[in-house]
Amino acid sequence: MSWENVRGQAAAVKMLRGTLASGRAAHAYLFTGPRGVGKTTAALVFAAGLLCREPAAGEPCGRCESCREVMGLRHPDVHRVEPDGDVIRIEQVRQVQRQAALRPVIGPYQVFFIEPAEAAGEAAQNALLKVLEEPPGSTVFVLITHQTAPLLPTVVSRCVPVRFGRLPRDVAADILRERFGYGDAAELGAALGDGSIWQATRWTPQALKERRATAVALWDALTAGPSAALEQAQAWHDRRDELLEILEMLELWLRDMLVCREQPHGASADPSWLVNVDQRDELVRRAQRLRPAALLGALDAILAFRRQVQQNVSLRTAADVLLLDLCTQAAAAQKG
Amino acid sequence: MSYVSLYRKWRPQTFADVTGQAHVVRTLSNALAEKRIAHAYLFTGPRGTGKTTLARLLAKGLNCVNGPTPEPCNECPSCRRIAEGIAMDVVEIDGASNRGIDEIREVRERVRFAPTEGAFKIYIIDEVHMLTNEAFNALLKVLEEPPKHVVFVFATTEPHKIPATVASRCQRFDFRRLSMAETVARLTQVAQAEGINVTEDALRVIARYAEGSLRDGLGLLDQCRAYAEQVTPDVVTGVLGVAPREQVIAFADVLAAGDAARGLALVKELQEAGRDLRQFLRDAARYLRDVLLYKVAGEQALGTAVLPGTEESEALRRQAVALPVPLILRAIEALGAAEADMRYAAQSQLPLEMAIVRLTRPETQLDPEALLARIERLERQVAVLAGQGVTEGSRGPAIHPFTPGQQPEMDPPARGQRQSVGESRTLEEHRRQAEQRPALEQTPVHEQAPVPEQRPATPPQPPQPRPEPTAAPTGSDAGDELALVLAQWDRLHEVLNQQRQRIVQAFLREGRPVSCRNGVLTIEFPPDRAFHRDNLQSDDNRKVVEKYLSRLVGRRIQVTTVLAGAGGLGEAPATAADPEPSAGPTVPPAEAAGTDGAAAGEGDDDVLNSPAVREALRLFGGRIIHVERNR
Repeated sequence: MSWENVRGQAAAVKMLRGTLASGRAAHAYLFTGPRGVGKTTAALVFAAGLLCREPAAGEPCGRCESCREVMGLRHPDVHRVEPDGDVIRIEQVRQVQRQAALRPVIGPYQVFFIEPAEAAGEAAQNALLKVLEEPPGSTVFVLITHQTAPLLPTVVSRCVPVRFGRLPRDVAADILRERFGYGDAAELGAALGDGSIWQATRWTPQALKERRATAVALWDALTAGPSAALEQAQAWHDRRDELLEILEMLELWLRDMLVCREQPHGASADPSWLVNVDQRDELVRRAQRLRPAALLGALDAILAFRRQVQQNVSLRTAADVLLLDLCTQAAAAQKG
Repeated sequence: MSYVSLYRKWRPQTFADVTGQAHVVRTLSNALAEKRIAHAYLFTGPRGTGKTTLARLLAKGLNCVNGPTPEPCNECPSCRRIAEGIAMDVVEIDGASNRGIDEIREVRERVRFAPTEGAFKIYIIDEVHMLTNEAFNALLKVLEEPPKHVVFVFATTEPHKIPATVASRCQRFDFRRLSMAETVARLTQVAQAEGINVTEDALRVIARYAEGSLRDGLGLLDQCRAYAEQVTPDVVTGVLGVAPREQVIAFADVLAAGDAARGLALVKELQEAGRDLRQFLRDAARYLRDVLLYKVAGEQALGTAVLPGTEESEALRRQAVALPVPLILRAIEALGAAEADMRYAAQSQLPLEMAIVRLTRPETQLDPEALLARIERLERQVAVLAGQGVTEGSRGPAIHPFTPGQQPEMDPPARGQRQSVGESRTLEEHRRQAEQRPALEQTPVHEQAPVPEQRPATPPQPPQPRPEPTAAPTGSDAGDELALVLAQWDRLHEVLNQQRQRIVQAFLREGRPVSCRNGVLTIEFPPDRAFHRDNLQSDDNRKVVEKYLSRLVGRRIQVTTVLAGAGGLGEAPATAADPEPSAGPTVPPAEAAGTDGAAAGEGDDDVLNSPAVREALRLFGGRIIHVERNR
């Protein structure tokens, strides 16, 4: 494994490689970014680079014993701190402090991975502060997280942040094609994954297209009026989880229609603006007749629904309200 | 050996070296000079502002061979040991990991022993807010009357978590965030000493994202150095994953031009470059705030927001003229809402895209702010036309009320202020007019300026007066009256929807306007929609429809409803004065109980007449077909 395996993260890779090449490794790094964009892979390569016996310009050789042990997670100087149950406990952090006070066994450094860092509660994070700021000896901490909000600002500010962005669509599509066999659904999968392979691979290529078809059918059905909305509410009553997924598809579909409306060139528009790239003609055709205000209203309704679901509003009530709202907007959208 | 990061390497070693916090430095220096040492200090303030640093400097000053002195020599064994962190008499405790009562008891035991090297024993407890309640209480006694040779220094980012009993026994110092200028000054100093090749612009960008924390700023500088030989603003934004300034400025241009397509293209660029969209929302909002500040405060604002004479200040000046105040306020609000929505969107760019469409297409919105924005746009176009020699008179009265807000060219800040005052007054007047008119005036008001709510949802075509008023009838010509209503029918639905009257709208959707005479509109419902008709007929709902319809049409309209086939159109329509609607082939619910009761079978009268059943029928409608008794 080498830096080539960390794709679409040019800035992060450049920085980490530069650090390895210059030999100026800081004592704590915070890898942030959505799930499924290459943080853990990068952490492994970085650790291998720190411990490699014959590194070349920031690139671990990948052949020496040290490299192989790091990749196999067997290296005695690489420590992984993972949640015990759901959380990283303060005792685990104390263990880290003790371990950090010791010398590395074979390599020049001890490397600690703390993943996911947000699993450490407030007390555990506070316990980390001091050792993060001025760790004894040759220690490098790598904190990995996909949500920085639960981390204390004092923890964040003690680490060198390394940002992993969402993958550009073409990179994600390539990965889906090469490693997951998505074929011609790769573009759609990449777009639906919103730059995260983890998110993209929730659905198989076949399921992607089926769900989209269901979402579009739902939207069409809702244009028929409030009674249709109530019928749909009944139909989806027992399939709430599925409804949430379908709404994601619908959200992207509506977004694409909105974009089609606002694009400068109409039918000849650049398809890379769209998520549903393969449905461009259909989208353009439909979008011509639609009102942006109603599309915005429908999108608002979907976002409001998700907010309610997260706030524990009764799913059934929320879904009924959503479908009625959508129905109003769907009908209004057609009149343009 | 591990590389020591800049913020550790450049921790100030003398009081003179400390950036900012002049109030703390001065007080502490004076205390040392006059040898008036308190026995406990509490340092509070945001991260990276110098709390731990000053705690150590204080320790040095106390224990230096020349001490207590505000100028520790940094050469004597004591100073050197403190700098290396191995002094016996300076005990640094991590309050977060040693937070229990046992740890504090241990401190209490050891406090009694005299210092080994210097004159004082200094206990520095960092992150002191994490101590448990019991631990704090254990501290109390020793804090109140510690041995003469002991000084406590507590450092924390969260002073509100310190018990009042502890805080009141300490001298408290509040550390402040560093200003842009202070941060830049220190960064420049470090960069020069380290031989880092960095431009001044880049340092300013670093300082902006450090948000007053030197540790963040130096950490960022460290990262940028690993990233590129020469640190430029692009390197900094690249490392941070944030949008370069040009794109933030471009966003404001998109708003000024009302160009949705360009805005969406901008989002696409950001997304493809892997920029942090959430941060972009914040940066854009902050930039718009700077524009607002400039509009209000003029050149004075430049020093704090951006440096004068830079490209950025040029853009700021240009956009202060191009962006009206209401639009800026609306944009800042929309960006904030988009940031909140980002959590709930399947694709993170969606809320930003929606905000852009909303802000560049005010015609998609019916809330007052959006309408104001549209009026604002019209006003400016009028001003341009006026400047081109088109006089008010030649354009007709429709434009007249808006002109007070328009002033000919002035220097930007003055113009901005004057304009906003003018706007708010004229718009206020119009809103009042719009609300009063339908209620007070029975006669059409076509000669007057259009009311905001009456505007069609098409993009504004400013200089032409609205077509509807002139085309509208003035008498009671029935056909035209109906046409007038029909012309606004779709809009009525939209307005109801916007005004959160979706239930009323749902009822209304089932009916259609069939006639309109003398301001009384008849809405017909299909026979199987008695439920909708009855609900719409109820006072509350009917009044809602009447209110908005009257506004839209510009005259007072009363609404009556009728079921299709209920004895002909317009005949015996149910009115407000007639609460029990007349019966027809499709029977209103109240009567249904009686008539259909026969069909349900003999001997069921007790059931059919029971109050519960009657009430159920009244509420839900329907017919009783069969009564089955429970034996």
